[in-house]
Amino acid sequence: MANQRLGDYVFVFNPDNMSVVETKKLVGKVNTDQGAAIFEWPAILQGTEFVLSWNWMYETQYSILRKKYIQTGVTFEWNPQTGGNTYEVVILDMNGKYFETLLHGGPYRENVEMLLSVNSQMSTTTTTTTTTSTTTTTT
Amino acid sequence: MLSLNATLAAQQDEQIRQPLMELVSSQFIEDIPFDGQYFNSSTTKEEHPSMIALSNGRLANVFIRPGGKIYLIYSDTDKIEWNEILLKDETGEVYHVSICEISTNVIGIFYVQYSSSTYRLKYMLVSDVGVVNTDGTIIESYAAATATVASANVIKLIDDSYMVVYQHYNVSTEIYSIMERTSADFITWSAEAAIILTGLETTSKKDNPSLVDTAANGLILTFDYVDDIREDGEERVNIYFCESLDDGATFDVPVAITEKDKYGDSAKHPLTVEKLDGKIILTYYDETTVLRASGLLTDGWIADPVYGNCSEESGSVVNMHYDPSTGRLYMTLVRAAIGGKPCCGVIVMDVVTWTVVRTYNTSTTPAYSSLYESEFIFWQKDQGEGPYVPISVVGKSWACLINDEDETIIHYNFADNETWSLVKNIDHDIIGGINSTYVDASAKRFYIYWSHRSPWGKCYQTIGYIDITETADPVSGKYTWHEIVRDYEWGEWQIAGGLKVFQIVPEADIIILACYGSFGDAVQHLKVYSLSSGNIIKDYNSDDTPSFHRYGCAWPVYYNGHIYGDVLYTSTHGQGDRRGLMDIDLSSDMIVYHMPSWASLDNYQLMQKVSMEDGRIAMIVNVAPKGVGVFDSRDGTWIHWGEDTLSGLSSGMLASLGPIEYDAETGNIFVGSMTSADEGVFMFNELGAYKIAKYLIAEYDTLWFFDEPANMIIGYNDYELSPAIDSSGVLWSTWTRIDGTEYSLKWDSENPNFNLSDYVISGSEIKVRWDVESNNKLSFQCSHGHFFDPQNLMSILSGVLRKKRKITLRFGDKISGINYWQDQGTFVITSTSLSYQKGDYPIISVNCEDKRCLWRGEIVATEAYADQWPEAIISSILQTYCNMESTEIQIDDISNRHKIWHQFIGTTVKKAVQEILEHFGYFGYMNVDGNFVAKRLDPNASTDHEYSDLSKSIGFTSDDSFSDFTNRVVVKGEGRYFIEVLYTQESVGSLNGTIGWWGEKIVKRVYYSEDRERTCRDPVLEVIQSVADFEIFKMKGGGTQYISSVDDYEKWIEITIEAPNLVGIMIANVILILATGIFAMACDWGKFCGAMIFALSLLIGTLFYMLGCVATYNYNIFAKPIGHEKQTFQNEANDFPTQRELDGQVITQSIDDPFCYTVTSCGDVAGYEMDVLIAQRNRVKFGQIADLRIEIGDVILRDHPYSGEEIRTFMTNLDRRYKKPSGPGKTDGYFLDDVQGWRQIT
Repeated sequence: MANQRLGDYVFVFNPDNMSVVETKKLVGKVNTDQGAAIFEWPAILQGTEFVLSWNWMYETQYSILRKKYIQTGVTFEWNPQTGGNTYEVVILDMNGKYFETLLHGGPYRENVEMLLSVNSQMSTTTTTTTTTSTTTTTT
Repeated sequence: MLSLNATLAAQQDEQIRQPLMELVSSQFIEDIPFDGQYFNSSTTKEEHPSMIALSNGRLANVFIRPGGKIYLIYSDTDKIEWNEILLKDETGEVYHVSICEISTNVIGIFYVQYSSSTYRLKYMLVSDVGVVNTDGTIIESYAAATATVASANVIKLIDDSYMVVYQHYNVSTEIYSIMERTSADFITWSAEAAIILTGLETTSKKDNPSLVDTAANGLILTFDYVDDIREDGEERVNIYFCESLDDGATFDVPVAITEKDKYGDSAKHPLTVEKLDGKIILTYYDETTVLRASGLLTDGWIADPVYGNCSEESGSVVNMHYDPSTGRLYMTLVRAAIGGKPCCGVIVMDVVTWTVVRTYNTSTTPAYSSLYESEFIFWQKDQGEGPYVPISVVGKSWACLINDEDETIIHYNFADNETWSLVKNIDHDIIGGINSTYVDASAKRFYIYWSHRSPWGKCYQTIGYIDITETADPVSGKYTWHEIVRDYEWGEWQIAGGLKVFQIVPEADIIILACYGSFGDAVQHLKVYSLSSGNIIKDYNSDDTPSFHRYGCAWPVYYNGHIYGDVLYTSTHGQGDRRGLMDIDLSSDMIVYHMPSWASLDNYQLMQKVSMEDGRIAMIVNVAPKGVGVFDSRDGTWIHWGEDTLSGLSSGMLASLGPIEYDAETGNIFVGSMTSADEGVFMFNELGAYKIAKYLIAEYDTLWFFDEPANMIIGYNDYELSPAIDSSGVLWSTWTRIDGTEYSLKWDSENPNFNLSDYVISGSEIKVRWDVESNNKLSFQCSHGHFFDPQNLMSILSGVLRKKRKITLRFGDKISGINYWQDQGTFVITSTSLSYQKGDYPIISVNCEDKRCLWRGEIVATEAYADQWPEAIISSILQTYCNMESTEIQIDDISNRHKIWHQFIGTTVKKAVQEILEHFGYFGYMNVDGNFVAKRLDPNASTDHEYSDLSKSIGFTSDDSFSDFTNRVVVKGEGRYFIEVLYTQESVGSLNGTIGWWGEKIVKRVYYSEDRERTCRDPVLEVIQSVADFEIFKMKGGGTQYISSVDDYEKWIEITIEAPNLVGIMIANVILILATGIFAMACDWGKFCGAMIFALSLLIGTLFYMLGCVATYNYNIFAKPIGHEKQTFQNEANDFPTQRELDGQVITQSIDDPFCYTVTSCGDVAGYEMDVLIAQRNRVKFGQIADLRIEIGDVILRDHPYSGEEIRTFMTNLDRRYKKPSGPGKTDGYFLDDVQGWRQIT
């Protein structure tokens, strides 16, 4: 699987876990005296939330993603590299913890989670594998 | 039970539903004429807007601010919000900017820039959000000494090339041309070419050319053209129209499409857009210096109930005042025919819209007495203020006061008037008749000035007031007169004659009373009294103050310690140099005369005056040159507006001028015209001409056919519209608005229904409530609160949820992919709330009620309904007071109806309608179609809908908390007719006096009351002191008294009192005296002399005693007063089971019902009420899946959740709640009904 892209940034590390991005039906269920009533509304994609999570990542990747998170009034194209659609998303939340290791000199972040909300589905794109863009984006 | 589409009705029984909801905002009135909204609250001048709708959905509007600044205001592609950006800060000034779309996201701007004595045509290219792509670039320059260019208008032609037209003026040849240039790319422009306009004078001004390339039929050029110009420069301008079928190479012969035929009356600045249906809308504005209103020109002008339209009978505006707080102009009109001047009405005009708001006369509600239609109502005698309009009968004793705020009229009668049934309601001892009146709205005082010229060479002046807030004494019905001045020390000819001689100046605490004229060559006075004490402060006359004019002062007006008034010229008495305006300085008593500058005359007839509150005095000039004059006390200068100096005025309008008023805020001057041919009122503005935006719609059918012009914008200070049609066909427009001296841009659009459905917050509840006792209510919440915020002027959506907007709600179901809808009613937004807080998304909460929330206005008095069915009365009330159409009132014949005789007084529409319906056991509500309907409030009605099981039921609650223990209802009513009744005997009069001895018989008439109107029966005479008790009378049997006659009309009795005739005894006594005297004369010879003398003295004493004696009588009369009362009926309904359960305790509720005319009717009403009271003890609540078939008043049959027994419920309340889940994956949505009602116990 190629590395995912958020806006102009190609992830160094893809998420370790990722919920599926798909439309969801709006439903209401109310119990009645002798049964239940079900109310259904058309499925929607906009507003659907999903989570990307990493067990650990470089602080550099974390900083880049965090800069995107704190921007307001902007949406990002997210390419999950699943061979299908890309999505216009808004980053709702992002969290991580410090993670120092002995074997590697650089700082890390662990248990990083990013909550995103889909604004719209964009056109289908081809999967890219340009991992070298990391250098560009971190400079 | 509502009738639904069969598929939708069947769906209501399903357990799985796909609910639909639609909320739409619209307005109750027509979209056009626009009222407009400002883009901002800036006071910097903004003008010359140019708007287009871009293909990407945005609206773009360029305009100019002073100093050469070009701005762009653009919307987002969804047309939600305005954004403003400065595009260009040019050197010098910029004129007439114009805009067109170049390509997606690119705008071309064409403008005229002026600096260093040079005009330049320029263009620039910017993005749709105001990023400058190509800065201002010169196309051509013109030395101002050679030529001027102006009024550029650029468009994109259908072939995607560009064309611009503009005015060109050759200074040396004085030729006006309309030039055109073309461009393929908006960058390279062709040389200019003059458009040949066949038939038009080359040297006549042509201006404001504009183009539209129509799909229907070629290129259209419109412009304004000076048809004629007068020597003084006044122009007559019309809009001309011509077409080109060869992309502007040639145009056909221009034709005028407006018909201005008066100088100073112009049509200007045409701009045309093509609608999606191929019709064109041509906007322009009328420029006129004078606005008029009259019976011939204005809708709603008063119709004289006696003589027809006031205007047709030469109705004249004789008294007038302006209320700046409401913008209303109040005018009293009389029928100015020769002879009497009866009042034909009072007109209330809204000055902003220049329309009639309301009228008052003898046939309106409220109405003033017909007396005022038969007596003289004089010119400039009654000065109103605020919402108060006084009317008085000159020289008589009657006045009334209209309060337009409360829509009431109070009659103040200082004397009875039998003809018009006016009863004196103010006690006073004033000599004379009413001269003038004045209202002080702040102090709530109605001042009245009385004058009288006595036959003994004195003139009497009396001034006082009535407290407007005083209500009549409940017993006597009388008001109180508060006298301030009583001055009877005026000379024979020193009566305050003429018109408007009486002024109250509360801010200076003075009363001014002026005399004027050469009557008897008398020295005339001007007196100033203290308003608070009534003491005289000044008495100006030429004997004491030689500089004061001998013939006094007319139409005085006060400003800043000075009184200004007109003088009557005379060359005698050393007055030869005194002309014009007399100026009295109250502090120094210095008096000077100011002569108007427009003419040299002896008499200027400077009549009615009004202070302009800045040192200027405006006044009527009623001698040639007639018009309005203004004296500026700050520098002694004069201004004159007349036929020669203010176009729009005509000699006819100025022939006889009446009252004058001034609005300092806007500069408007109002003048009442009393000319028979040009009656009414006219208004002009000291700052310049009025601009009234208009539009014409034209359709092409071998030719362009134009409809009649109509107003595009409400008001008369809006001009230079720039219309645009968006991709949905909605008309938008921006224009320049003048507010006093401030120029601002406004915008508006046709208000297509705005669908709010997508803005309703998921997870929030839409709740609609129906209730038999109150208005339908709707509440919901929307996202984008910052855009819907009514205070956010930069939001295009700020008006969508503004208070008073109409909201329409629909619910429905999606069935097999098809949407099925059911209306849920229309509502009025009653309140919105929104708060901004950091971290919280702005959500706006909206509350609505149905139209009945507008039925709270007070009805002073309805017509007296007689012999009318209840449905007809309700319909009449709703149509009269709520502007409802008959089709909106759908009340079937009430099942147990009877006719009604009633007049509603001092109530509201809602109460009046409710009273009628409740009498018949009905309730009214607005149904889902927005119509007012009535249903029987019948707890025992038959079942409308049956639910076979509990699969749709949610909970069940018994709730009798609204009930009480009432077990008897007593209803009282009155018959329609008065019947005669006798009251208990009481003392109704007395009589006392004396009667003589000579057999006197007197008959005394005793009325039962002082006003001789009271009727009584069975009179009885109580003798307190009888004539028979008189001792002397006993000599002859005593006297008698008795009731000798009773009035056939039972208003009096006659008492006859008789005394015995003692004349014989008297004569005998005299004879005896004479005999005794004669005998006594010779008593010297005997011894009887002393005895004789003694006897004689006794006899003489007896005689004198008898001559002087009278008998006293004293009676009291008792009788039974006769009265007339309506017969009272009463009936009751009982809940006997409850009475038994309470061990016989009877708990009664009494009701007075004005519509119960019979015992049976009382019983019916008592029965309805008892049914409801019993039903309240069986109140239940339950929920269920929303069922769009049901409505309040239905009876639902369902099972009890525990016992399974059938429960039949009359539905009194229904809450329908709709909630879409709060987000994807959430399951908290629902669509439910909460029902409350009365369980039927059968």
